Amino acid sequence: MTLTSSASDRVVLLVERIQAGSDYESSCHEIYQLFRRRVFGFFAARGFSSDECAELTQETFIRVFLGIGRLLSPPRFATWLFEVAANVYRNELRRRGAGKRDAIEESIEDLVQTEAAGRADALPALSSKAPDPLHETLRRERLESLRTKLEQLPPQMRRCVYLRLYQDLKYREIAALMNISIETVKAHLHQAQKRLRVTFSDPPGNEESQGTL
Amino acid sequence: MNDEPEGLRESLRELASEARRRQGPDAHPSPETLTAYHAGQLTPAAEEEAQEHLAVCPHCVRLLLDLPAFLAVPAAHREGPDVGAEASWQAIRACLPGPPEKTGHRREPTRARGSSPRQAWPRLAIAAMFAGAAVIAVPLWIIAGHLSSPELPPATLELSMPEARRGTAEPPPMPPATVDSRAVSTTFLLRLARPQPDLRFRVELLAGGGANAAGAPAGRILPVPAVKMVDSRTLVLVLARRELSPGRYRLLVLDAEQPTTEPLGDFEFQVIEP
Repeated sequence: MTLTSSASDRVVLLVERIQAGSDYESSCHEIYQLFRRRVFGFFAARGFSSDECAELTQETFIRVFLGIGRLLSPPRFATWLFEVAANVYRNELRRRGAGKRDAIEESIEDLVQTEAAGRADALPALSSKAPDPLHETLRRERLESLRTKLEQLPPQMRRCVYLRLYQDLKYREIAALMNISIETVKAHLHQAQKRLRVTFSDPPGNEESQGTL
Repeated sequence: MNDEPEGLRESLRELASEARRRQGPDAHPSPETLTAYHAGQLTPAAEEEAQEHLAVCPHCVRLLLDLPAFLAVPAAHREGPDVGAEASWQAIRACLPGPPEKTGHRREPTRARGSSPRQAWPRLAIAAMFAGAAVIAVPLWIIAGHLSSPELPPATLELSMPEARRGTAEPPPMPPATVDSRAVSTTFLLRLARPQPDLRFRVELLAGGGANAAGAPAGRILPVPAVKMVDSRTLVLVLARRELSPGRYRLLVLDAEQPTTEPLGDFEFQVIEP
């Protein structure tokens, strides 16, 4: 789904007016009104507070109006706006020195694992939460086995496994993301299930659950 | 390998985390690459690389999955009231740089749909009438302008701090950038020498420019309107015509937490009256 024809024409006209300097301020205002909610929603979907969203939206539009003279293709405006917003978002993450908001799950886990490993190395006798050696060995073996099996899968099949099992995406999302049909996704996951020799159910609440990968 | 789903998920998470570390901390494709991927405009090799990253990066997957909705236009009647938008617009408005400078890249406005050369002649006739009127009116306007000093459209001035100097030789002094006193407002883009993430800054505008005998900035301190930091190196502020009379000025960017240290930015400009 993209911009409807009349709305798209209007946006192109407004961008061309801004670039040509005619009705400059009113055209900027109209562009802002047309796209403000979407930009705000973009940041809200990433967990920023309302005030932060307002601030980041403002920064996005300032950058847009500063750089709009360099936009060579006005029909691409919405895509370009998305790129500017995404850059503002990444800059904000960098500015916060975290880079963690994009992978909280990973960062916290990594942190916990690293800390646990550090404690276990330094104080094996005192640490009551040090991993059980047998459990740890089994875990590593399982990891190596899975790594080997995944490496033997065709690349597209392997990516489908990650997207389905690690990222919990639906078939249609995987299909859209990988630019393949839903049938191909299902076939890949079916094959992967055979090759990895795994049987398990889908995550709860997934309406596309079929009892397998 | 008969495995519990949670165990397998856990292992995949670990392998994905490893793969991301192998790709490096800044390995995320740029937003431009992601939109090109979405549009199917990447080369097969670049597409393969993007897919390999997407498989293990929920952050970029989320961006891509959000893109179609971002490009869609919601129906106007579903928009509802938008509290705070006007105040936010006023802040953006204060930072508007004015119409872009004319460049070789400028596109002509697209012709409206359905118009053809045959339909164009009435417009040409009207344009010819206006052109005739302009031939008479422009000289009169220029003469009147000399008498009343008309306002010019908003201007933009980009001032950059040089990178850290190497060697001992001082570069030859450069003439200060100039601003036309007739511009209704001037947007200043101040580029600092180095990125300053997390900077809490203060900007001072000094009328008079130059430095006193002790090397400290000389001049009268004038009020500065709101300054916006648009990225870690660039600040934007807008000064109206009434705030700048002809003369020399300096804009100092100071670290608000350590205002006594050397300025992070020191920009000189001159307002001239042609």
